[in-house]
Amino acid sequence: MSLDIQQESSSGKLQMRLLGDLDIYAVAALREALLKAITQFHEVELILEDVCEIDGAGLQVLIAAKTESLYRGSRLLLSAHSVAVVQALQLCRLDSFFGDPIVLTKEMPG
Amino acid sequence: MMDMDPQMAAALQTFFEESRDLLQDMESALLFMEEQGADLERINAVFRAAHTIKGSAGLFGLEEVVRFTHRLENLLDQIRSGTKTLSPGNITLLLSCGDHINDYLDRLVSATPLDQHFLSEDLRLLAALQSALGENSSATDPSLTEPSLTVYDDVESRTEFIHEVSSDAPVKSAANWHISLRFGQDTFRDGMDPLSFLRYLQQIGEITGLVTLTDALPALSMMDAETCYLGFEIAFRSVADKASILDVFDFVKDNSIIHVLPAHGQIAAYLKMIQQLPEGDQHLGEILVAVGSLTPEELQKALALQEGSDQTGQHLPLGEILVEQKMVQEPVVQGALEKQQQQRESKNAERQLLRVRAHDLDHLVDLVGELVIASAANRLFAGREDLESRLESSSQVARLVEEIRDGALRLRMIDVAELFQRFPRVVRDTARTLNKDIRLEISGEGTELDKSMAEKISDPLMHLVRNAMDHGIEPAEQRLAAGKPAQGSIILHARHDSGGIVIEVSDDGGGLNREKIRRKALEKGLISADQLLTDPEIYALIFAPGFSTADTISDISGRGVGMDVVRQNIESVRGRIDIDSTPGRGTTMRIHLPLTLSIIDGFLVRLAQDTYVIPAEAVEECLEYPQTVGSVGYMELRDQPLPLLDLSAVFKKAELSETRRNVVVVRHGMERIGVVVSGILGNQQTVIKPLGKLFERVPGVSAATILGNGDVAPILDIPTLIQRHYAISAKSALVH
Repeated sequence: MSLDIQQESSSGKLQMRLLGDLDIYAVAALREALLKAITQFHEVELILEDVCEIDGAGLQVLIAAKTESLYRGSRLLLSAHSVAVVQALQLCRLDSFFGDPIVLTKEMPG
Repeated sequence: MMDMDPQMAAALQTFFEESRDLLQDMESALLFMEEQGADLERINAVFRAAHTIKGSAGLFGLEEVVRFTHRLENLLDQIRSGTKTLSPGNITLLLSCGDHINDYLDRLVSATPLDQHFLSEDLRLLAALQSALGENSSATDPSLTEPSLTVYDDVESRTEFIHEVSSDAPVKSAANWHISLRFGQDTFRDGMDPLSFLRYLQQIGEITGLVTLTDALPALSMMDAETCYLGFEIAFRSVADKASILDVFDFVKDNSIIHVLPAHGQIAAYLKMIQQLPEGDQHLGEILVAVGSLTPEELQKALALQEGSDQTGQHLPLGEILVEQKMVQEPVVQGALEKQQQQRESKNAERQLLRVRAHDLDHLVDLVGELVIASAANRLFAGREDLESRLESSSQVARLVEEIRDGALRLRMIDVAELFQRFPRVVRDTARTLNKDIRLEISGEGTELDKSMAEKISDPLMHLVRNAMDHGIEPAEQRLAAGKPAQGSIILHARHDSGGIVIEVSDDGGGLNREKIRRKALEKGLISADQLLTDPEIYALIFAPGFSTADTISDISGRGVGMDVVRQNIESVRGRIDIDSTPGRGTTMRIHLPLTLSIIDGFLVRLAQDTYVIPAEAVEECLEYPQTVGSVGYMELRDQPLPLLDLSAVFKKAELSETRRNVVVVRHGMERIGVVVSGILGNQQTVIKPLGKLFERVPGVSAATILGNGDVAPILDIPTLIQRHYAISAKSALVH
């Protein structure tokens, strides 16, 4: 499933909802969108509840975006992680790197 | 012991050969580590050897081997993971285990039943392995307690019993590893996902620590999202061995940097890895600690030193500092690296080799021999017809044939290192039996010799080495008193020398005792009291049958059989041996061997109308037959009587009528004789053809060759001719 990006902004804050697979096929477009978002908005929230799959390339773009925002002093928040995202973050021990609260549901491993 | 189809039998044969090679590798690795200290590369090599043998043995249903190597593997596994150390005791145990497996394979090949001796060794080693493993054996493992109560009558019941036991074999213990991954830039584009490799890792073990490396990741505005910049440092706990862990990354191994190291220990290995990876030394060091593969103390030591050197203005890489500060001794690191490299190279070389049956090769060499003869004939006839074009083409064929001959003979050549490889073990074990400290040095690897010659020379060489250790090297007190180091040394050296090969066995012992040999030779009636002998002549006496100068007879040597057998064996491959000895300094036994067994330098002589070949190395000189002698059977050569042997009498031909005859003086060992022939034809390269069954007992002829004109020429067996002649003269002397 290809990735769909829905954006909604209010008072200097951008909400990006990612829908579909965050994989190698989507990363080029996602990078552009994230770069634009981070340069334009002081706070960006990525809503991940509709991410079905995430691979190394997708994760890598998220890491780069987070680093970029830290560098610029802006905020990049990840929220409503889907199971796939939580598993990938845990596999790579990156939960603390992003520093976002993760809401665990039943099917997610501790 | 088992029925199987020919294909299976052939595969089994390959298994035996490979297992022997592996056991040999295992032995050399163990001996090396005994000398130089344990290193992971070699421990792994030993483990791999045991593992491969176990695996293959399983395929053939050799449960005995599987069960035994399984135990062996357990111990090796613990040594590898650092739970157990490679103590001298363990090395000896592992060596004995290797011998035991070898013994078992030998018994399988020769269909020898497993006797009481074998079984008691089996139990002894299993018990030793068990105690080395430190397992509480009696409760958990029936294979240890029960066999001692059971007496096996035959192989069958034993094998069955083993079958039951091996099914509940103990579980392999898990080891801690450190895995360092830097994925190649094209990993995503090649359709691979680094995350899936991590998930796969979780299948074969437990990821106990992990740091995702993002150092290589460019800024979001600069990055190519489809390029992989990811790296991971992973602490991993698994029962899998290094090879299976590496297998996980098989698909990406070509373009990625992958290191798998055992956790803790072997700081040197970590430093090497740190240096090879792109990130900064210090940063990486911290990551290793974070992951849990190094302790903070281990890193602290290294970092403290690095800071110190920063203040002096130079920034040295971490590894270099450690080496400089002698935390890791440079020679050790350097040596280990070099050895690893060598091992890898020889591994690669192995893969380029082809196993060929010796029989097929012999057949090829035979055919090439025929070709040499046919080509010589071809040239002869071309010469007779005097057609220039034909002459030219025939000489071209002859040249090519010669090249093919050289190539074919080269195929039979093996590196002398293969001949020497059993000696480190022999010297080690013999030194222990003799309670002497003896070091073996081997040099001249790369020298090549004919395979069948290597086989024939192996036993004599073994005897010489044992002899040198037993009689040559003095006891430590005596050595110290003489101002020599307590550790004796034996040197095995090989080199090429004027178309032949020289193998030397040297010791730095007391040297041969000239007077003692002389006395003994007098006692035995080998020489007379008034005989004046040069040093080499006296030394050569030790090769006389029944001669031994040792005061005490030991297990190793000194029974007085042997040295003469050594000489005979060497001479049977047309070699010779001589001795150099300096009292108090040591002895060198020098074996001279021809390059090959199938082609010799022949000295062609004529007897009436027939041609005979005398091996050129036996020929000392040629003389004109003195008219004055008549048929006495002796002539005078430089005031010494020279016994004459009339070939026409030996081969029952009519007595030679020619007035001009020649005497060829030939020598074998210390005896010489004059062979009377009609004429001398000169030197020629001679292809040795074995005689058929019908003729193999013809006295005085060892083989034959075919001359260019198609004639068959017998090759004279000089040693036999000389012996026979002396025997006959002795008999006739008794009669008269």
